[in-house]
Amino acid sequence: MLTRFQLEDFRIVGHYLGLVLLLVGVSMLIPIFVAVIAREMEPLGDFILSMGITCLAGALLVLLKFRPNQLNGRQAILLTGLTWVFVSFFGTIPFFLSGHFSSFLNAFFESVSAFTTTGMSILEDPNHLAYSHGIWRMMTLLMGAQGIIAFAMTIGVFARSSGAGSLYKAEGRTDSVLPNIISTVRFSMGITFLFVSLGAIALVFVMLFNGAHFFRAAYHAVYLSGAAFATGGFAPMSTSIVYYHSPLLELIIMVLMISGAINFSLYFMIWNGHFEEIFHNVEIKALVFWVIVVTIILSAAFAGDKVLGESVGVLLRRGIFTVFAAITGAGFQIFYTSQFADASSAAVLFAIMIAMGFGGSTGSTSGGIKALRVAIIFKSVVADIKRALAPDRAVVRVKYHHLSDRILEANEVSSAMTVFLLYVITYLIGTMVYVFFGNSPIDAAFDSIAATSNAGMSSGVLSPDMPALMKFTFIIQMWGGRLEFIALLALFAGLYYTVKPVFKDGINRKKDGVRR
Amino acid sequence: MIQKRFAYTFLIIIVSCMALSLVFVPNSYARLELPYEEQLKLYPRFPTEAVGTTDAAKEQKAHTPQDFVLPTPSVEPTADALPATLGDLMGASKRLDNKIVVFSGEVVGDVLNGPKGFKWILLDDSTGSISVLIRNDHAKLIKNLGDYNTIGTKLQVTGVYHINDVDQFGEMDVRAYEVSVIEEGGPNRDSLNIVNIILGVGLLALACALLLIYRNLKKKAVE
Repeated sequence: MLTRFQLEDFRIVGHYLGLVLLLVGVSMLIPIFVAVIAREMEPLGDFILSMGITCLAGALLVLLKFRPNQLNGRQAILLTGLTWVFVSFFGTIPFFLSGHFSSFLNAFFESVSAFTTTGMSILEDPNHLAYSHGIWRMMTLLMGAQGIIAFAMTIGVFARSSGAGSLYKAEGRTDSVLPNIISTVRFSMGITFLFVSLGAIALVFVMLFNGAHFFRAAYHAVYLSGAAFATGGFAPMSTSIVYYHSPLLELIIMVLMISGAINFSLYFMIWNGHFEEIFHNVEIKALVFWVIVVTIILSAAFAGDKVLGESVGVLLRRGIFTVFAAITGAGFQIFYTSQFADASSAAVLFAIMIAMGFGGSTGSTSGGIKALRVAIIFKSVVADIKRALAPDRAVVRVKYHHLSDRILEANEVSSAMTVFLLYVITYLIGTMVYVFFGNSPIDAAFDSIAATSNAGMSSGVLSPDMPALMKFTFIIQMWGGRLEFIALLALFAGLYYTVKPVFKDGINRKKDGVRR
Repeated sequence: MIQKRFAYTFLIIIVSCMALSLVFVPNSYARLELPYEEQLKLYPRFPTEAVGTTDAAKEQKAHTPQDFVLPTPSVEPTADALPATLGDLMGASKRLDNKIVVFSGEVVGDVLNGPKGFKWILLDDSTGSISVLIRNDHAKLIKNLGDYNTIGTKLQVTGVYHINDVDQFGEMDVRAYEVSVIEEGGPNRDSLNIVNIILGVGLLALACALLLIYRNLKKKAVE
């Protein structure tokens, strides 16, 4: 029995949505500060106007309810879905005003790509983008990586709400190692701040050693550190990581990407002295296994290239970086896909597609199907094989270790398979849409997987001039992948049943708000 | 105590990486240290005329390195270099791979350290951008670095284009041997958009007023 959303639900959800928008508006003070320092006058005006529009919209929504009730599970789903839509929309305003996008849809695409940490960019002329706009681009990655709702929880927007647990799960989070959700998200924010700060400090020194000016070194360092840990993949310059020509910088970026792709709960375990968790955790084992497998496949694919295949240095430096960028979902590109012409380009793209589709850990900043689900599905296959070979009366149990010793349960397998299936279906639908518009199947599949798994690499399908339907498809894929589909589908289903009229005896009836 | 150990361990790792960077110097730049005549021997084909038509491209003749005449530095492109756009180069044009090309673009970002005696720059135009390896004396020609507030120096570069430069770990780049300045560039200051600022401040004031109303109404609702 499905219940409709009532007006009261929308008022409560609208109130909290307004608070989140106010938070996003206030966060625009940071790019305003950067614009003042960098003496960027026009971007200063852009951000003041954007801040005004966003805060006004937030204030109007807050007025919907003076004393909001605590959120229940259904309202949490509605809030999560609507938050990602509204925040992406209002986050578009600074992008649009920057003048680097030929249409509002393009700017909206960029905003969704940023908040979902996909990192697919159709920004025009990035090399002349204002520093303040660049910082806003990086900030949207970090906010999206943490989770917009989680970001709001950190500063106590939902402190009095008992729906914190539902909100947390609706954003695709599962593990909570601290006594309450608020403490857990604050711990995640602390870990993020620690890694981004240390990464930025290290990168500043590398940039200065490479000959960059101090202001630009600091800007690039903060930008890259945030983008790498958020596994977003935006880079300040059009040539991405290639611009820096620095093996040490690439090494630091790889460390940050992997750090962002690890479950935050694991950091909590390590913080409390349980270092052995690194070696026993099924997700870490799955990640290591897939890195090795994809590296082998990529090596075989490169072997056909008379330049790339003959250089171990190329494979070690660029190949492994590409593997890490794909698996973590960061999507930093250190190759142009046009360079694979001599290599077996389909095999190279296939290897990267597997890596992107697989994804990082649950409870991390990365996307994809997630290592834990793949491990659970694999364990389920092992269990079925054992049952087939075991005596009829035998009880087969399969164990795995993820923060604690666990026994594989049927509902876990079912949940993992459901999400796996939803990802695969989305990959296929996206591929069909892009092929319909004249792209090759391999390239279409590559970009479809990159969007859904929030990895962000592109084989060339993506461009500012692509048809609007392709842009909308990418947007839906990015959203769905970030929220792991359930929240988005529940939102659409709930809204559909809310507006769908109920017909009984040929007369449009609404009875107790319940569809019969 | 464990948290401190973790933090110190992490800091030690970062510092070690920085120290290692001082000794981690790729040794694959030997070719660039060769005399120019020796470098030419590494490139098997040399175009004899500028390519303007498809016929000219088909009739390109291969010359032995001894037949190649060193161009004198000048602003005009040499007749042996293939004109190209940055879009062609970014698109990994096979026609241009390992060939001498001539193109122009604006210097954006920083001039970064390359191998000994060389610098990396990024040339950019509306069609694309590509990394170029230039000599230190050529780097001194660059007066302005392009960004939001600055128009960078526009250079004309003649050099050898690589889709996969093995010496640079498979990077797509151009190794320049001739660089000349087309435009020096300069500041490109923008101006304050008063309308946006007034509108933005006005909307913010309105938002603050609404929040004050909300606070008062909430207090009344509690009472």
